[in-house]
Amino acid sequence: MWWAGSLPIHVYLGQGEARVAIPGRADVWTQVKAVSQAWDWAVESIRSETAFRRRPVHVWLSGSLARPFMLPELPGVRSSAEARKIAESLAPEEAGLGGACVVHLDRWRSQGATLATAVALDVWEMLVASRESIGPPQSVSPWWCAAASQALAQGLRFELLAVREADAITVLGGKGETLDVAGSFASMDRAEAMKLLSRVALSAALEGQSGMVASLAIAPAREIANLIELPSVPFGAMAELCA
Amino acid sequence: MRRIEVNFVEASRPPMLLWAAALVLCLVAVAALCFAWSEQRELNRLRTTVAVSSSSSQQAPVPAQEVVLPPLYEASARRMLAERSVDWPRGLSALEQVRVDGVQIVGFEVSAAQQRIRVEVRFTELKRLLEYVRELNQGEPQARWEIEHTSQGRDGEGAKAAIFGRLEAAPGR
Repeated sequence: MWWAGSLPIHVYLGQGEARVAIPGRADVWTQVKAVSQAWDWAVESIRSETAFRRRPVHVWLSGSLARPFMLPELPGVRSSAEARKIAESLAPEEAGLGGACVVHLDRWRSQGATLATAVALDVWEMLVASRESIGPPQSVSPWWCAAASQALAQGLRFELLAVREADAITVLGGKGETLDVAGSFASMDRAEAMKLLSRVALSAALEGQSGMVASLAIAPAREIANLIELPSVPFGAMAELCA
Repeated sequence: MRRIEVNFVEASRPPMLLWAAALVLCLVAVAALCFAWSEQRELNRLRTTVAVSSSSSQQAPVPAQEVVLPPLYEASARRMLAERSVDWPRGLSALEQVRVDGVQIVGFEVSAAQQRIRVEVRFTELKRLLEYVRELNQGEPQARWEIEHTSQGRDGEGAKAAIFGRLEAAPGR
């Protein structure tokens, strides 16, 4: 397809796998033992396919690499830059990453809690360092963010969301325009994910609200009936609403 | 649940201040280009005008303008004309016809430009002076002669007065 040359390339990175989607070609994926190995493989795949022309690259991180947590209200803090520094100091413990982190704050305000997303500093530096070979990434975002946004864009209404990936499950919850719950958990199967949603709903006083489990499109998920496809999510996603 | 937007690259983009500075620089560059273009256009227009005028001047030289100087005798001629235009003989004949004891003319001056005669007299009594002026104005519809000032004399010389009379335009002028 002649127009495919201007479309962006999508890369998915996880602890144990990597995927690359180049428009006009079939998606490719591989299993790896470390995220650095996953990124090297992705960069090489992109370079081999786009040797003569750089194209925008969107990087999607798995829930174990980009971990959300709720940053509580910080009395006296006036600027988002200051709040981000505090969040970066809290992230190793709150997100369980165990080292220096880079944090993104979603719509920080001086009142109320804010959704923070942490990425390990060495992972971030690894992505930035690739600008010599394939150019700077156009975006670096968690894949669960794309799944949640696309589900809302398709008109699905839910108060709790569990996003299942191969290496983690990410839970987000809140009523209306507020977010009250955010966290990452070890990967688990669909039944365990349902139980996790129930526990989170109970602890966050969201019981009785509608929930949804979204999964990265993998073969076992397609066998479940009444699945809703989220085709615009990079690499595809399937969603299941639950009471 | 609300929509969530997370992009780590967005956070590391240049701050808005840099974008604003770049925008200002672009605007300045555009303004400078517009100014240079308009100046070049004006320069071309002037060059064209100069070229056209120089070519036309080579074809037909413009004759030098004649400078008209007034003749040297004009001032004295105008002065003579002004003196002739005043009926000063009538004023002098009035002074010749009127005689009053105790009033004696000691000098007079005719000013054609101001159309007046100034007469200096010596008088013994103020009553005689007033009578003299009344005699001069005899028969005139309006008083033509007036006393300009008077002064007391010293050492028995008698008082002095200056009288001026308005002249009319000469008949037929």
